[in-house]
Amino acid sequence: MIEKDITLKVSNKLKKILERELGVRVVTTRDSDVEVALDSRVAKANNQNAQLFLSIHVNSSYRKSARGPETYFVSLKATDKVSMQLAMKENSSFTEMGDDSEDDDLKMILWSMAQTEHIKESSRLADYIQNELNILLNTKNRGVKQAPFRVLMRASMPAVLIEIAFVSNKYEENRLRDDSFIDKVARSIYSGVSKYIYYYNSTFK
Amino acid sequence: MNKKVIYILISLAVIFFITSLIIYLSSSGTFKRVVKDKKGETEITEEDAPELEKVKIFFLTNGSSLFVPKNFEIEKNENRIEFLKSYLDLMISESSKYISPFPEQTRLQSFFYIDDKQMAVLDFSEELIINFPGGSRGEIEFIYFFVNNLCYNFKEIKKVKILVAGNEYKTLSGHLDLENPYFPDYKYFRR
Repeated sequence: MIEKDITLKVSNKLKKILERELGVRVVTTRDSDVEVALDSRVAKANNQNAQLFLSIHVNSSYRKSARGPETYFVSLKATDKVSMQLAMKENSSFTEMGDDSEDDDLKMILWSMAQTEHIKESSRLADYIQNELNILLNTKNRGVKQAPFRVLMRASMPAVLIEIAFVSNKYEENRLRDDSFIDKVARSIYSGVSKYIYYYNSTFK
Repeated sequence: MNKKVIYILISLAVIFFITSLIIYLSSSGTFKRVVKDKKGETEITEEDAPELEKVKIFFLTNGSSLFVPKNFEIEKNENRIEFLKSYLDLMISESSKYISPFPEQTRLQSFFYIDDKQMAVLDFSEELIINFPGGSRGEIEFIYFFVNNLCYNFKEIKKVKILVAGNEYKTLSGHLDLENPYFPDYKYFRR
């Protein structure tokens, strides 16, 4: 069983539900069996001015008993670069920076710190999605987690990474082969996103 | 006195002598003990025995989603790099008794410590990337197995950078960023 086939199925189903039920525009990084570079995925979201970024995956562990969905948002404190960025943000005026190499560094830093503005909202979005996955799939709550995911770090919008199930677990591997399970997963993610959008609209609009 | 009585008396004398000798050696601090050296089991005196340093290694087990601590003793070495090497060797060899978070053929090719950055750099063989099964959880388990264990036991190490075949990679299998070094995150450890 190949991860990219499963995640493509989930993404295509989710896209249809979101467009039909919420009338939103959904852009996928791929809609067929093609390889898309990791950095290109989030670049596409940034270039499209996307308001939410969902990265859908299938989990794996050498611990075969590990199971259940996991939703992550980025942890920025874990890296040097981010510490440096935060320090720079707090202590310096970016416009004072001079030569071309510094400009390039600045661009890179601004690019990779994009997610710092959206951590709180990413956390909330992750919560909503994880809760829905737990309820609808009746799976063990592994909770919302943080880690320095490359694909999330550069997203300039609320961004989460969803691991729908463990392919390394025999029980979940079988579930992933079942189209009705894939439907449930897509619907769970949709429910989480729609709750987040409702919360966002009622709070900020 | 017949022969049987003589044998019994001699045996008692021998037992008394050995017991006295053991008590004497114990009290004088030169009682022999068995320690394991690199060549196998050997008898050495307490005075010659290497001084041991207690360390912990947190392993992945089937019973818990958190890394579980196990205690070990490693021969003390004033050269901290050599000591670190012994620790890494132990981590890797012992991990096969638990759940090893990396592909079997993976080797730690080299490591070094950058003083002014307080950073350990671990360079793994390319099998790590080629045979890595994927998954966020798998990447977290691999990265924090090394990062947390090293930072926990070596206070001078504040962060760990991971290379593969001498090169910097973006990720192991599309998830956690590998371009930056990692600080420890002990939420994955049972303390």
